[in-house]
Amino acid sequence: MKKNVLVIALFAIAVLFSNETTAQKFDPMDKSPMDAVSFPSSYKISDKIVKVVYSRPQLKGRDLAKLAPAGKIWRTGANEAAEITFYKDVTFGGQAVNAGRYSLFTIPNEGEWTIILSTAKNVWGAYFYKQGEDVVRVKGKVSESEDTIEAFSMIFDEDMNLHMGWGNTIVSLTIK
Amino acid sequence: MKKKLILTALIVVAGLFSNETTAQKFRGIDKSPADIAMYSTKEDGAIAKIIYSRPQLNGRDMAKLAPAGKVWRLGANESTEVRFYKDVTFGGKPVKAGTYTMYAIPGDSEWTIILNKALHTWGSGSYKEANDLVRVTGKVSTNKDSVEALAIMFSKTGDMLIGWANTVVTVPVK
Repeated sequence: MKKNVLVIALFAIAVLFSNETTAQKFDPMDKSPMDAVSFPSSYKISDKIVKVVYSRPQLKGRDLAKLAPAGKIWRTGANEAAEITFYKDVTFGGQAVNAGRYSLFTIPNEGEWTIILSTAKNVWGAYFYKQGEDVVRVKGKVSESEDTIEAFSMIFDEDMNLHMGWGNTIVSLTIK
Repeated sequence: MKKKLILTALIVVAGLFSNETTAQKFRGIDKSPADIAMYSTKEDGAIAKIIYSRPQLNGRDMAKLAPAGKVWRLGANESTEVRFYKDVTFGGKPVKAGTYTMYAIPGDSEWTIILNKALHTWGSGSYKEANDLVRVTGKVSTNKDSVEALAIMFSKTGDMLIGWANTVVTVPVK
């Protein structure tokens, strides 16, 4: 009897201290992984002025003009709408924008793209885009990339200009 | 002479109207791509959002990638960032709405999860304990299936779950 109690007690203690085993499902890697760029770009500098978080769809043999059609609001990435945070007041494409967090949408076009900052937060894609939430609409200049850019990409150059590249299209915008 | 001028003018005009060709250096997809974990409910809307990078095991041992007893970046590249849209209770401790970086100290049966106030840092090299906001403990459980890419998610009840290899760490968020 005593032995039994001891066995049960030992078993109970073992259960208490052993890790529970579960079958927890975690999502695999996204097909259009997220990425972040900030300015100053150096990872050694924590005092950032601007940061963009966006998802990176890939061409996979498809035509950019079909993925981001001219004249239509584009989520500017994939999944959640691209998000841009200004830690200081800036001049974005020539227009004053207060420090804060915005969703970034674009309307592709041939010579220039319209770039929109919106107060919409945590939205998925551009399906919920409302023009009433626009903060500014500015123009980004289109140039051509010699190399085809497979994964949609955003970078800041050393002058804090924002460049978006996909396929052979580069859209550039000044931030000051 | 006149012809030359016209020619030059034409070239200049053509230059003005043609799209500039540049060799801007865009980067490929990161080896440890970033991802997002969102916790929102119908009643409260967005409660928490985590942005983190996802290193993969690639045949390596997690105990070597995230050694027990040492502060680990809980991701890759830029420090893992958590944003609370409301005041919450994180692992039993009150935390004000705001943006923080998140680190972990792995352990066998529980991990220490750290919220730190220094933003936009890189990896765990720049971590300073003096900037800690709170340290809480997360319970370790074992996952039957091995998770290849570090994953952070929220359960429906608001538990923050960290999964990598066969380890699951649970921190309740309320």
